[in-house]
Amino acid sequence: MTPLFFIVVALYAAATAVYFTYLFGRNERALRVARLTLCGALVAHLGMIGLLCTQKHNPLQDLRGALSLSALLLGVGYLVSTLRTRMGAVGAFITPLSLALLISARITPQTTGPGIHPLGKLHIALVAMGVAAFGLAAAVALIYLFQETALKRKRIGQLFRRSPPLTALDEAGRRLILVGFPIFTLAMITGAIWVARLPGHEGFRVEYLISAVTWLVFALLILARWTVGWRGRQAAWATVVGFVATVAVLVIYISRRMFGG
Amino acid sequence: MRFVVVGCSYQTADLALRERLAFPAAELQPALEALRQIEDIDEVMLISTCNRVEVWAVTNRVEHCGRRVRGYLAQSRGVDQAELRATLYHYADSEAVSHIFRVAASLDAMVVGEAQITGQVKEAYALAAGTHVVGPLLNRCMHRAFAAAKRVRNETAVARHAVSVSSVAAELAARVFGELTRSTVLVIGAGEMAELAVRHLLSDGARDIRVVNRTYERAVQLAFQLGAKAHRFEDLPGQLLTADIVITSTGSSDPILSRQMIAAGMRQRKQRPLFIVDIAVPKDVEPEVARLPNVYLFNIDDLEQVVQENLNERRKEARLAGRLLQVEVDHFVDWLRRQDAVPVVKELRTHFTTVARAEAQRTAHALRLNGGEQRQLLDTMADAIVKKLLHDPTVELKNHASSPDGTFLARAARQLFRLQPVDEAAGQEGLDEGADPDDAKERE
Repeated sequence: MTPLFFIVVALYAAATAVYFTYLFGRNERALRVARLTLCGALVAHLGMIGLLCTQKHNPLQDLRGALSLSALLLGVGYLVSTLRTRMGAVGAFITPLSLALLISARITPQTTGPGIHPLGKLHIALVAMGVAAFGLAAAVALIYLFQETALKRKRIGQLFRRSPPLTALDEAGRRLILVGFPIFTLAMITGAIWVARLPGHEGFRVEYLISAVTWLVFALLILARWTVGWRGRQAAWATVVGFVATVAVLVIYISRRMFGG
Repeated sequence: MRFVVVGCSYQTADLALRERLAFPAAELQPALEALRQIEDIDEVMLISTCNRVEVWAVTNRVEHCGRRVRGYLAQSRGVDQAELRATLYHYADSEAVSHIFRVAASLDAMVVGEAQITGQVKEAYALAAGTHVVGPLLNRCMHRAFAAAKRVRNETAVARHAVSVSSVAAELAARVFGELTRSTVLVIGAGEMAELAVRHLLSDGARDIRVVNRTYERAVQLAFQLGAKAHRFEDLPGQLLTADIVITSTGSSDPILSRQMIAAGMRQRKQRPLFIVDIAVPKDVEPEVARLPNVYLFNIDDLEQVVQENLNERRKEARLAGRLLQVEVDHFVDWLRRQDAVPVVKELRTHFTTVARAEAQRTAHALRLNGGEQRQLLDTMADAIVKKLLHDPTVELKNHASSPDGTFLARAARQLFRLQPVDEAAGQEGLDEGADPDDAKERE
């Protein structure tokens, strides 16, 4: 393990702590400190990926690289989203998620041997982007659920005051799913073709089924939003369920790499 | 020089007495001039609001000043002295400065954090400055107090949470919809509370306001006042489909918005969020409406509860703000203390400069220097020697100012060097220039 990895982990952990301080504390300046710490973490993370590339470890080579790339894209996507909307509170969910993805990447064994087919690389890149988009959407959905529950129960606490308006969260969630869904669809198609071409391909696996269910959840969500005006709480729960299914697929893949099977 | 505050507020005097003591706007300037005429008052300000009447003064004789101000208030407002003695408070020195800072920062206000009192203090200061009854000390004090008030507002949440039913309603609507510029507000009934809530929404950016009332003429009247559109009561179901925020305050004895009606409307509007504020007593909206998805219903009790929570938040923040303010007060009091040494420092400087310049003049004469650069150099050298010689004594005098040691040192300096008092204007000039070296550093 490189010292840079520990620096990146420490910076993500520090950003998480400062975002929570902002969320539940009274210090307004904490948000600026949190953003700067997250920026520092992302720069260090990018540096780490760049360093690995110089050592012939392409992040698009395997699951390990894809997870690390997802963590980076999640952070970058979040910072970009804060440029237009006040999404300070969402950072408290994004930074631990990035940290979890980074640590998952570290515990996933590295693939050795010859480089993979370009279709495989495309699949991995799309998966990384899709996970980042759905992760961001899930974080937004969770904040929505907290905010909405507080409003329904008339409990106006610190978290409520820090959170963005409900309609802004709902709209952000809708857009993120609209961005993530085509990427995820493409990832599934490229993945299916790539795997079918691999020698020794075994046929059905449970992760394929869960991936299909994930795709179906998001497809139904988009359709329901469009036709019957599904929104708010229902849409937020569907987003969280969809992301949990995505995580389940990743966990199965990581387990297979670690324990075989 | 010492600061004095004499006055009463909502904490010490009832409304009837405050009303009798309050100065109408037209009488403020003559009152300031009269207060300035009181012997030993060098600078003065008068704060007269519905919640407080206070005289802030700079004087040398605190007790005497307090008695005279009380006498003036009793005489000019026609209130018995004995009655005033029981209600007027009297602060001096750091306590007075602390009170001034707290009032300016709205920490002593009835509703902590309300910006109104800061504005009123600014107006009082502008009037006093325009009447030429404030000098360097009150000037400095007020600038410091306003800067501290700004810090308190920016660095704490003391003024952040809404503390009235109508402003809470507007704040909650903003928590649902964000910017209210694109939100449609529907007002049902033409009550005063609804009007207040709509005015808050208007100030928060709402533009599209519609008024529905059983008496159409009354709806037209209110709509005219609010710059809104009036609709007949029969249009209510249709208006509910397009509204984002509904404020209802009719005098109806039965609910006018049922669960069934709202649920049907929500289906038609594709579940677009609906924020309902029911200020009516008895209620206009069936409580079951709150259980519908994407509908947020707040009645008067809910809003009152949020007001109490927000007030508690402000009180918690006020403790933090008080600590922050105390740092600023200590800083100013320290500066003020040092100013007591200014007259003797000025006398020392004048005496030494006079002697040194005279010697420089004599040397120039002996060297037959009539003007020119060399003559100027002699003066510069004389001034530099004076500055260096007086540096340590100046620092010592300022460090011990306002203490028995400081009084002893000042008397010793005057006796040793046979100092003559410099005129007051020159002394005041020293204050304005910030004769304190620390002060100069601070400004840099």
